[in-house]
Amino acid sequence: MKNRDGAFSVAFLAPAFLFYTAFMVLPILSTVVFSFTRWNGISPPAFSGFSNFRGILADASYWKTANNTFLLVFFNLVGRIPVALVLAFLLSRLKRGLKLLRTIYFFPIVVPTIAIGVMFALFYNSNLGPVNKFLEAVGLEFLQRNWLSDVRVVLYSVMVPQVWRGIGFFVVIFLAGISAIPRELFEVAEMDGTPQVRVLVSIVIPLLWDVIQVCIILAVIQALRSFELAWVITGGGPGLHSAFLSIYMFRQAFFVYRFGYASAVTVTMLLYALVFTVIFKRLTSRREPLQY
Amino acid sequence: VSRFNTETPKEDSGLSAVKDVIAKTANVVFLLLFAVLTVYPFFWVLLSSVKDNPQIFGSPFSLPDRWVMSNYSRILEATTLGTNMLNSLVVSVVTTVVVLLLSAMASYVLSRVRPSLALYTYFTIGIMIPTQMILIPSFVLLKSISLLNTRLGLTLLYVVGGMPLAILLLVAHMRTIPVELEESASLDGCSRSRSFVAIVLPLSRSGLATAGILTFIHSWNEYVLAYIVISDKLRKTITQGIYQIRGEFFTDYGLLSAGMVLAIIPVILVYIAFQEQVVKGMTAGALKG
Repeated sequence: MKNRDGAFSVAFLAPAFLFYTAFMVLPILSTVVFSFTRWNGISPPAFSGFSNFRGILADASYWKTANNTFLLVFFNLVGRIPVALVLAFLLSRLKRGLKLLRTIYFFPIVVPTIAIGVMFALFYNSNLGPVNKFLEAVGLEFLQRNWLSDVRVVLYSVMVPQVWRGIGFFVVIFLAGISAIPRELFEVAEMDGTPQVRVLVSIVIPLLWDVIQVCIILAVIQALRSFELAWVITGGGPGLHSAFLSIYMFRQAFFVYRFGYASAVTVTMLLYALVFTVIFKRLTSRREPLQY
Repeated sequence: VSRFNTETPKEDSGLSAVKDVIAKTANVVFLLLFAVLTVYPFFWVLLSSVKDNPQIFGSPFSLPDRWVMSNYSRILEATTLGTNMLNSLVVSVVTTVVVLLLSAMASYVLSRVRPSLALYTYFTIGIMIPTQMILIPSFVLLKSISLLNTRLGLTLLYVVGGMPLAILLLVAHMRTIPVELEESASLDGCSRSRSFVAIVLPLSRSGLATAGILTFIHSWNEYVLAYIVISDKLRKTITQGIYQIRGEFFTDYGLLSAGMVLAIIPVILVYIAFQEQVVKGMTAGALKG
């Protein structure tokens, strides 16, 4: 049997390998290659060196959407991770109802992003939507806005659902991490009457630090690639006021057929993710792992 | 541990017990508040789907004073959403079956026959690749082999997109099957392919279930690839359908709510039935990166 394993392995790996290589790996590499070409999708791509990347440096629309994207990264971090940590910590102290609440918190992750986008588009509608109706009902009319056309708020309007939706994901991850912390630590703290805030800061966060790091990276990566919510809610508009790099790239590719330039934009998005991950891992790597 | 012991309880036990109850209640209130914040938007859509538009706009936050089912019948008659759902169902089910088959075969080799870290990494690196990274080449590639605007072409992209996570989950699962089972079967003259079918696959049921459920949900929910591949109205999938009716009926809240309920219901059912697998599989895929 052993000597026939070679042929068997090839036969069993081949279908997955061929499909995966042709429709995943080659496209990834192609995007990198296309980023060095000028190409409208019809005539063959013409090698153009770094001209796309030089173009990006001088492209105000690119930097406008990059700025929006970095803002989303920021809010994705500060809006999700602390809230998720507190929720997971409180959940882990719960004796009953943990599973039900976890199921509820995770639920928005499972729902199609497009449906969530349409949902919020309905909520935000300035005349018909429940957001402004709610503000009216509770006497906060002065807060009413044209949520999707006022250029001062539209970016925040499309960021809210992204942050809201992603919290439960981190709650579940943190919860799994907390359940791996030895129970005795919490029992001792409870006997001492240590305030919960201290337990969270002095026990949970240090012991969960590795998991928190992973979630920080995840939050950044998810924000950098986020596309659908803004796409459905506003299409990135008005103008580019609620557009992220993903939307700019999509418009460049499939609206004005600048495939080479759009590929270059994609490559920069990947670079931001890689650079952040590498720097962050370098900064946070510890000499010795925390013992407990 | 000792550094957590520095504070000694100062209050007498009665007072601290009261404080304890208050703190616990506050915790529960906070947790429930967030649960409401999570569920209420969906609940609002569900309620609106059985109200008519005057009810939705006139009393947006109250229960329906009479139940209206016409939103659902209207959406199935006036739009292609029914067809879109059917397309999604076909694409998602075919994708799931093919992903499971190809991934199980590859995972069997990678976990039990010829483990190779290089190949394993090669396959699973796809989990971290954003769709944008393959968007333009996939479009060009499908165009060149005449699969643009076909459900087959879309399925192909979904299969490839689903394999990394499925292989990750299946390799992890197949590693746990005791090697003795296969060894004794092999002594009895059982071939590799036979032991794959008769021993490994049946013992991988739960891993296959998790991988299959996730593949189905991801295929059902996918939008960007569907957008660039399919342009024919009758071949579009559910997420495209929802996007489209939002453009056509954007003030018809009842209709749109009904459409969203229809789009969400299949994944809700899967989620409620298999929540343990969904939660574990999704977080495992994310943590891998």
